[in-house]
Formats: sequence, structure tokens, C-alpha cells
Amino acid sequence: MKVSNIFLVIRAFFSGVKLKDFFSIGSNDQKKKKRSIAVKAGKGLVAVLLWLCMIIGFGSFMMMFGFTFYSVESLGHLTGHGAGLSVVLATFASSLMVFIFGFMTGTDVLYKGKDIALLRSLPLTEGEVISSRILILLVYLIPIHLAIVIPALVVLFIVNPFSLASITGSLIVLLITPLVPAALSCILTMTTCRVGGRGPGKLVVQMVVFCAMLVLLSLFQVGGMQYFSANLSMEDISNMGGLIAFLSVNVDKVLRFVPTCLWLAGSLVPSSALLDSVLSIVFGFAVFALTSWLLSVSYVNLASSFEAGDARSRKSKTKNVQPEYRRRSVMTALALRDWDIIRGSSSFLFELIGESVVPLLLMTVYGIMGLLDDISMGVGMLSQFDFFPLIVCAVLLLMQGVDMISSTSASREGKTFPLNRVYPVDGMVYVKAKLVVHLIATAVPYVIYCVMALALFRMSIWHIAWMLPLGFAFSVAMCFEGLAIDFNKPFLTWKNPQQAVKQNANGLKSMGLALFQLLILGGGFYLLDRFIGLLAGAGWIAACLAVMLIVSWHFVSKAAEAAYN
Amino acid sequence: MIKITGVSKSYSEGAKPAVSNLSLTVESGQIFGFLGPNGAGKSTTIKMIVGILRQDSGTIEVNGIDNMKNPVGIKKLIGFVPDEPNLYEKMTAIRYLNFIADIYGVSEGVRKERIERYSKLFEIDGNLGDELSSFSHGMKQKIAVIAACIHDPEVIILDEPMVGLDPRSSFIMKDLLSKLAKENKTVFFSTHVMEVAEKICDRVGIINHGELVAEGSVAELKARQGEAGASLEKLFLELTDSSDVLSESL
Repeated sequence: MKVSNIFLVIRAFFSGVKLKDFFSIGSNDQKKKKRSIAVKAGKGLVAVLLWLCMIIGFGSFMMMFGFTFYSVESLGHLTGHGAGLSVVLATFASSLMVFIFGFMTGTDVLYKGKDIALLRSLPLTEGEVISSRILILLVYLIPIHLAIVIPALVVLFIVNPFSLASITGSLIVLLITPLVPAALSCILTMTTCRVGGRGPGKLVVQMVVFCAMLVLLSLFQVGGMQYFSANLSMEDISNMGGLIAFLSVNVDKVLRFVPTCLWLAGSLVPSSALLDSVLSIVFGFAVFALTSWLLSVSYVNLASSFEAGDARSRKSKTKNVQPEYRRRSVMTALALRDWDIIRGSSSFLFELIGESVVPLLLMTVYGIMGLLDDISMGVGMLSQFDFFPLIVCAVLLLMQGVDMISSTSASREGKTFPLNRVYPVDGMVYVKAKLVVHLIATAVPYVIYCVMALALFRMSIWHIAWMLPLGFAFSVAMCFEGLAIDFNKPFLTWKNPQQAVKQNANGLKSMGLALFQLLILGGGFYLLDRFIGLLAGAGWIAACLAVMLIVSWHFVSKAAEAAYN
Repeated sequence: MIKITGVSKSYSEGAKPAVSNLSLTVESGQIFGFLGPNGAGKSTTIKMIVGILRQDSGTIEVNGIDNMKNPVGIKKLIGFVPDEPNLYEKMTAIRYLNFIADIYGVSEGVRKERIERYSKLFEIDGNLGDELSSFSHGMKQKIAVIAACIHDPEVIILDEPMVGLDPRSSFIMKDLLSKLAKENKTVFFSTHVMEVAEKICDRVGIINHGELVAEGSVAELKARQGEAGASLEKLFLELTDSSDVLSESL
């Protein structure tokens, strides 16, 4: 196995991907015309604003992580665990996320890339091909890892004295941590592909495993909470020394289960830096090498199965089916086509639809564990405030707004997108069809979650009267904004379905914009409600939504006109 | 009828145009073969007619409808077969054909009759329930042709339609194009296969470096050569400046 070949393949895969394109606004397909300075400045300003929204949106998430890690780091010092407890937590959380997201997109990257047929015809070994695919997957997962780990490292540098070990250890934490979970997610992907057999069985098995993973995760979280509530007495809570002793013992117990995270954190501390650095590096690369070997053994069979086997199984099942000739409206036909594109890739399904059902799964688990009542009582204090329903609504809107359904909609069509221009259909019909898909994927879960939240927090059913229109208007505006962004610069040249979603700046821009607008909506309401009154706050939200709808409609109709007509 | 007048298109400001001041007319009931070497501007011209690209200057009219003034109206008249049959892989063939029929508003009875007729003609009626991802290039090409004919267009435009088709399917395709022309449809297609152009085209146009260098019936073009044993291939090589290079390389 030649390492140079592996990196050659990776370089070829990412060739043509330019960072400056990621930050620019405007169509790839548009002719490069000489534009006036005013137009250039306008486009530049929009780009800067969009990226500012994104930075503020994601920055606030990282700040939240930072505060949590600061508390954990302080707890580590209180319980005598010294420096690095926040890094243990961060590497654990990052590993979990990398593992889950790696599994969600593993099949597409490992076995279904459009370049795989070409790679298999070249004089490369299975080991070289699969190693390059694992590393490509790793590149996709790195941003998630960095978003979690960087705040912990910042906290570590703030709380603890600076040392050479903290520099070298940080590099190890940044570079080595995702190797193991990414490799393990690849092994799970391979296993599910093998178990799923030919045809759509693979996707079903993967969906089941994904849901099982979420349920297990929730059970683990719920179990921990129940353990603490069962073992922590009132006496412990009232007595600081007792509380610290209790936490110290239990932190020790937890740390025993995460030795690799302990090594990674240990590499930052001068006393254990050398040994733990060596252990982390050796373990990381050993797992990676073992995974490459394991996957290479079955790679030819699995890749061939994806190339030909699926087709065979689909043919045999459909041989005697009588064709249907049902007529549908143009809008329905376009909406159904969008659904066909989404279900055409496990990445699209996991990313877009999977995210919508996660809260439902969590609620189910909480319900099974009998925790819903505890949660309901836990927020009892908070629910006394007038603005509590708004907080609930904001959380639900956040869940609804942070998606990429519309903002990657045109991109997901890939090379078939230009054919839309051949059809005798007005641009706004496409927008309406995509709005239907967006509302089904986001507004329907929103309604369900609204009803569940009202029941869980014992709020008046009449809140539904403002929560539903608010959610609907927000969802429509998010859809138009996402579509306008994607129509302007669709990413159509992807080789792997995952690139259309994960490597697509349009999705990030839209999510950043959604977060920013929520901050404006919520912040404005809070201030007006506090200093003027509820009516002023409600007026602010109504006015903002009206502006959002009008502006987004204007932009999406212009963008659709340019993209389709 | 397709009427192209003084059409130019370049992909970037200041660059050499992909199509330069192109003018030609294809009457109803005619089969027009559009010939040219790779990168000559054939696909760019076709993409402008069907609406994928917009011309920088000039006008394109189909049956009197201007593509810039009424883009949706002109598209209703056209059936298009692209050079690469990029279809929605997860759809079955019948679902794809129904999708196209829905887009063009074809009624249930009519679409059933046409899909059955064309799928039998191309011997693909047993595969309509299969997913398109399982189809070969040639099979996808056949589906793309059926999709282009499903709304009985007045004008059918095909970009390299013979690529990927087996000899039998090529024969069926040529026969179909002739039949469509007899029904007074306008057929416009690009090809590299001179024999096809010689055999079925009423008129041919040769484009090179974005400019139309010859246009007329096959007989007229052969007569232009004015020598015994003149052929379209020879003329093509002559007009596209490749005959010398070819003889040198041989």
C-alpha cells in the first residue's frame, strides 16, 4: 500500500474545491460579466452579512460549549482531577458526534461516490482506495470535531498555566481524536451494508441502527440522570464538601469508561504528556490501520454490490408490476421528484429527514423512562414567567430553522438541474413545489412538537393559536431564504451526494441566517416586552415576520426567474 | 419551424465566442443535421434553442415564438434529448415518463398510448418498472427519447442521439425521426456520424469554431466539392480544417 497513492486520490477528489467559492455569492453557471463597482460592492456586502450571521449563529453555539467546558474544568480542579477534565468531555462528545455523523454519511462516501468506478479500474489496491475514502470521510467530519473541541482547548488555556505540553497536546487532540470514531463508524457502515444485503435492505438496516443509536444514547443519558437523582441525597446537596466528594467518586467511575479520552487529555498535562501522547497516537493509527484492513477485505464485494447488485434486485422485484399512468399536477409532480431525489441517497435522508424525527425519538425515550413528568416539574419554576411559552416556541423554531432542506434543494439535483430550464414551467412553480416539501419536512414535525410541548409543560392549549401561525410564517420565510441562497449559487458538480449537503456553503449560510433572525426576533421581543409591554413585543414579531416574508419572497422570485427561465 | 438569426454566445467576457453570429432556418417537416467537430458550438446552439442557455445577442424563434419573450411558450413546443441522459436515478422508468407527462400536462389516456407505443418500438416495455439506476446508457437514451416524444412536440431536438444505441436501436431511431418529419414535425439533431446525416437529413449545417461554414442539402454540399466521389465526410474534413492534419498523421 503506497501512502502517496492515497494522498493522490484524496487530492484528486477535492480538486476544484476552492475556499473562495465557499465564501462568494453568485452563480457558478452565470457568465462572468464585468459588473459595476456598485453591484460588486452590493454582492460583497450581502456575502459579508451572510457570513456575519453564520459566525454569530455558530459562535453563540461555541460560546455555550465554552461555558459548559469552563464549569467542567473548574469541577475538575475542585474534585482533584486537575487540568483537562473539559478536554475529556470535549473529546468524548466530539467522538460521539463524529461516530454518528460518520455513520450517517459513511455509505455514500465509502461505496457510492461517482468516482469509485473509475478508482476501481485504476491500478490501486483495495487498501489504498478504502484508506483514501476513510480519510475523505474524516475531512467532512473535521468541522464538527473542531466546533466541539476548540472551545474546550480555549478554556484549558484560560484556566491552566501555559506549557509546551499544552501546545503539543492540543495538536494531538485536534488531529488524532476523530481518527478512532471515524474508523469505528466505517466499520459499522460496512457491517450494516453486509447485513442489509442487496437492494433497499441496506438503507432500512441503517435507519434502524441509526434510531437504535439515538435511543441508546438517550437511555445512557437518562440512566445517568436517574443514577444521580437516586444516589445524591439532600444532605450531599446542602453540604459542599459532601457534594464534591460525591462528584469526585462518580467522575472517577465515568472516566474509567473513556480511557482514550483520558489519554488525549493527559497529553496536555506536562506530568503525563509523553506517555499519553504516544498512547493516543499509536492507538489512533492502529485503529485506523486495522479498519482500513478490515474494510479492504470486503471492499470489492460491497462496491460491486452497490454497482450492480442493487440493480439486479430491483429488476427482479418489479418484473410483473403493471405500469401506472396516473396524472398529477405540475406542482405535485415536482414535489414528488424532490422526494425521489432525497430518498435516492442515504446522506440526504439522514441529513434532512432524520434530523426532523430526532426530537420525537428523544421524547419517546423520555416517555418510556418516565422522565417526562420530571422534566415537566423541572421547568415548573421557569413556566411561571410570562415569556415561558415564547422560550418553548423559540426552541421549536430553532429546531425547525436549523435545517438544509431548502438551502440545498437545487444543489441536490446535481447535473440534472439544468434540465429544469427545458421544461415549460415558470420558476415560481418550482418554488411552490419546494415549499410544499419544506413544509412537510419541517412544519408538520413543528405542529407535532408544539402539541407535545403544550401537553408536557401543561401550558394552555390556546397558545397553539399564535404558535402555529408563527411557526408557519417562520418556516415559509426560511424556505424562501434557503431557496434564494441555493438558486443563486447551486453546487451541482458534486461527485458524492454528501458533498451536496455537507460541503455546501449554502446550507451553512441559511442556518446562520436562521439563527441570526431568531436572535433578532427573540431579543427584540424580550426588550419590548420588558420595557413597553407584551403587545409591543408581539407587534415586533409580527412586523419582523412580515418583513422577512416580503423580502425573502422578493429574493426567491428573482433567483427562481434567473435559475429556471 | 426553427429560425435562428444572428445568434452569438460566449461563456465569459472577452473570450472567443462559442457561437458567433449564427443564422439558420429549419422548416417544418425537415430533418436538419447539425455537424461539427468537438467544441465547435453544436451543444451550445442546441442548449440555447431549448432554453438551458440564453444567447448574448440575436433571436431564436420556434414556430414564430421568441425564446426571450415567451420562454415557457416555446418550451411547450419542443421535445429535447440531451447528449448525456442524466435522469433521476431513483425513479423507475415509468415514474420518470409520468413525471415528464405531468410537466407537459399530457392526459392519462394519451400518455398511456404513447408510452406503450414508444416503449414497444424501442423494445423497453418490459423494463418500465425498473429503476433508472439499473439502466445502461443506451436504455437511458431510449427513455430520454420517449420522454421527448411524450407530449407530441412540434419540434424535436436531439444532441448526439445515436451515441450508446445498438445498431438495431439506431435503425429504429432513424426510422422514428423520418416518421416525425413526415408528420410535419421539425427535427434538429447533432451528430458525428456522417452516414446518418447523409441518409436521413433533408439539410445539414456544418459548424466550426462557432461559425456556420456550410449549409444546404447533402446533394448541394456534395455538388459544392465539384469532384467525382465527393462525400459529406470529405467536405466536413475540408471545412473543419482537419483533412491535412489527418493525412499527415496517417
